[in-house]
Amino acid sequence: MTRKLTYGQAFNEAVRQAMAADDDIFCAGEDIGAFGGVFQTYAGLQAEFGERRVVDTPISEQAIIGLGVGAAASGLRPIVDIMFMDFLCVAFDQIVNQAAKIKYMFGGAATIPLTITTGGGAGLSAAAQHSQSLEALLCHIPGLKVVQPSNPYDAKGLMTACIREDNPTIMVLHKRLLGMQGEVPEDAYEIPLGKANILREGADVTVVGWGRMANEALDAAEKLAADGIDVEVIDPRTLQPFDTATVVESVRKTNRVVVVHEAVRFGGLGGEIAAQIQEEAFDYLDAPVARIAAPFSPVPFSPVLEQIYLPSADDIEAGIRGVLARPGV
Amino acid sequence: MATEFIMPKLGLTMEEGTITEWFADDGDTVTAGAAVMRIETDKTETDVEAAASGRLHRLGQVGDTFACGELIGWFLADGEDAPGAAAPAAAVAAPAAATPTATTAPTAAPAIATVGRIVASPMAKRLATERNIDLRLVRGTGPGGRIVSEDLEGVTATPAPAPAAARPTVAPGVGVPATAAARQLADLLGVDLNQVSPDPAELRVTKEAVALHVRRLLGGAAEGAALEPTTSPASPVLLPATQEPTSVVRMTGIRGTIARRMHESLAQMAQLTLFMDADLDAVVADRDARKRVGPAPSYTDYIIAAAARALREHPLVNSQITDEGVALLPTVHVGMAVALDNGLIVPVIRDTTGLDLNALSVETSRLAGAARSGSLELPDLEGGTFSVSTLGMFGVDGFTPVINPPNTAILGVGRLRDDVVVGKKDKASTTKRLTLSLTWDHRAFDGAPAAAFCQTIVALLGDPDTLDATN
Repeated sequence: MTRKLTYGQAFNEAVRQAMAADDDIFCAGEDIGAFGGVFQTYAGLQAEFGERRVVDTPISEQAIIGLGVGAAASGLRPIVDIMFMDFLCVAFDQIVNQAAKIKYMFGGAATIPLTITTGGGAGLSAAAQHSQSLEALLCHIPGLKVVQPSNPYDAKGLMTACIREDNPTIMVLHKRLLGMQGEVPEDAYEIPLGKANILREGADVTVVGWGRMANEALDAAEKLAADGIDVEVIDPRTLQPFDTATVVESVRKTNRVVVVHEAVRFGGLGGEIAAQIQEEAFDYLDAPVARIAAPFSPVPFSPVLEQIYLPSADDIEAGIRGVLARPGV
Repeated sequence: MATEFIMPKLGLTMEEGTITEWFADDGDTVTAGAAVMRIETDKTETDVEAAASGRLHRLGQVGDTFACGELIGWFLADGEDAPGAAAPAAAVAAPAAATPTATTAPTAAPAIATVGRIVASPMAKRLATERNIDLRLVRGTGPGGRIVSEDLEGVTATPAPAPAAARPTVAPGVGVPATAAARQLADLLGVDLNQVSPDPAELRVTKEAVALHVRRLLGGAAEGAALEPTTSPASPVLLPATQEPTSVVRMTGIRGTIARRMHESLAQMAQLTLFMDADLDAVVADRDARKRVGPAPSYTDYIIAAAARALREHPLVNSQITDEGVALLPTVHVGMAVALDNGLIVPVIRDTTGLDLNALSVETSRLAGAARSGSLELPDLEGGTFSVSTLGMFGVDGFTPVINPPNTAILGVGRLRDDVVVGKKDKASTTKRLTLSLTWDHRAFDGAPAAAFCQTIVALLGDPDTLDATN
């Protein structure tokens, strides 16, 4: 029943199945039609559904999102693609002041079932303007839902949920995970938004990480298992709304936490998550909540520097050992 | 045979000492009688000698403060180890009540002496509360010695200590809404916050509510007398510095003592100050005459001598307020304020009226020198009945000195200046003059006797020969 697909293919299949099931769904974005998208995430869709439902747009991010907001307000269910997450900034007025606000400002009379898809993350030597992880900016805006899958199964299930969601969602695909293979069911399925996934159960320390960092955390956990350190890895899957309950429940069990993200440390979601943990599980902590994140710097273009810049399994391992440290033993 | 090394009590009023220097390293062999460390008390710095010969095992670090009688180390024989479990006994026990309860600390927990804040994770603190474990008896294995939850594995509940021996791990009434000051006071007095009625306005237990509760408990029997020491003004809530300070002068040792005693003095007494001019032409002439033949007393010496003799004539001023009333003290011991780099110290000229001017001058020089070199002995600092404080050398005429408890008065001395006086037939002349500032406790005596006392000083200064008369 399951077969292996890449992360990108799994995303593509979610869009295809949703479009086949619902004629109100259409896609728009730069080069997603004839070319199938710069990362081939929309490959074959225009051939299957035609130019009216898979639209190549001019290079104008504001116009792309504005098109989606207007279409959504008028009853359609648009999927609009912004090639790089960095470019969301160009269309921030449409995202923050329009898409996120309309339902509230019209007292619920208008809904915006809009899905914005984009590619985030570093690791391709794509330099400072094509490599950022800006999820914290988006999660700060009431009215937006933000997801980032860490594997092919989640990519399909979360994308399906985003399309079916009646409020604006932003699906952030991690560029370095596009080729990741994994088992994906053929039938359409939905992973509920706002629910975290315990990727690996453990008793000694909880690591919270999403996107590529969830996989780095799993690698670190495997390595530490050889030393008898039992790591629990939680992928929140949805960053807004954040599933605090699952994280807190885990912390109450393990008493130690490391939060990992690829975004810069200052003002990153790690600070918010750490604050929520101390609010709800202060009396269960044996160590301060540790954060592993990128330094406060633009993403370097140099591949060598970029590798140093990005948090890795080794960094996570060191962070875990830090919160577990008991030099007095 | 291990010998305890305890914080000595070097004077009647000494309550605690802070280690400022160790002269011997941990493990050094010392001989009985040799100075092994220097301590700072609220009054002075002094060296402490080894009580026995042996290998020194130190439990205190420089900067640590110990109550008198508290264990600060051991003198050990060769090959002997410091008795482990006894260490926290002294550290835990209150200064007054060293009880053997804590020596029966659970052997499962390798006890260490814990002074001050216990560093434990929130998780460990919660477990300790639930399982009634005294965290002072648990060794922390986390970073910096932090006690973490694993350190409590296998540790059994701490037996409840004898009521007087030590505070319980968890103060009763932990869940009761209360101010921090109320908790501190309740903790100090052993009051269960559950029993205290909360302040109706604040909807939580306040310090005042605890005090009211205790007063009710004491009822008429004790008349609140036992409460007196604890109802002293509580530390005010201090705001953080409005700027990043370039440095912070710690309020410990002498600084802390001055701060506490001066604040208590003003809070507890009815202090007020009068000013009176004294003409010193006769003193200046007397001093010039003495200078021609040898060393002469300072102007301050003349004023101390005059004040001491005036105190004999006005016994109300040489007094102390006690539970029984205003106690008149038969002997005059005048304290003289000496400014130090880090504060102020008031050595005492014993039996001041027993000294003529020259003897007084020798004694004040000795005390001032010893004060500045830090070599005052504790007897030099105790028993003052009155104080003289001079700011004249800074150009000050009058000020409002603060009484040095338990005295009831203090005399401030201003600058010696030339004043123009208008005599008979409007003839102008100059006179050497200074202003005396007398602060007194209005509870002990009133303005008229205070002024009369000053008039006597002024009169004595007008006739310096009287200042050589001894008892």
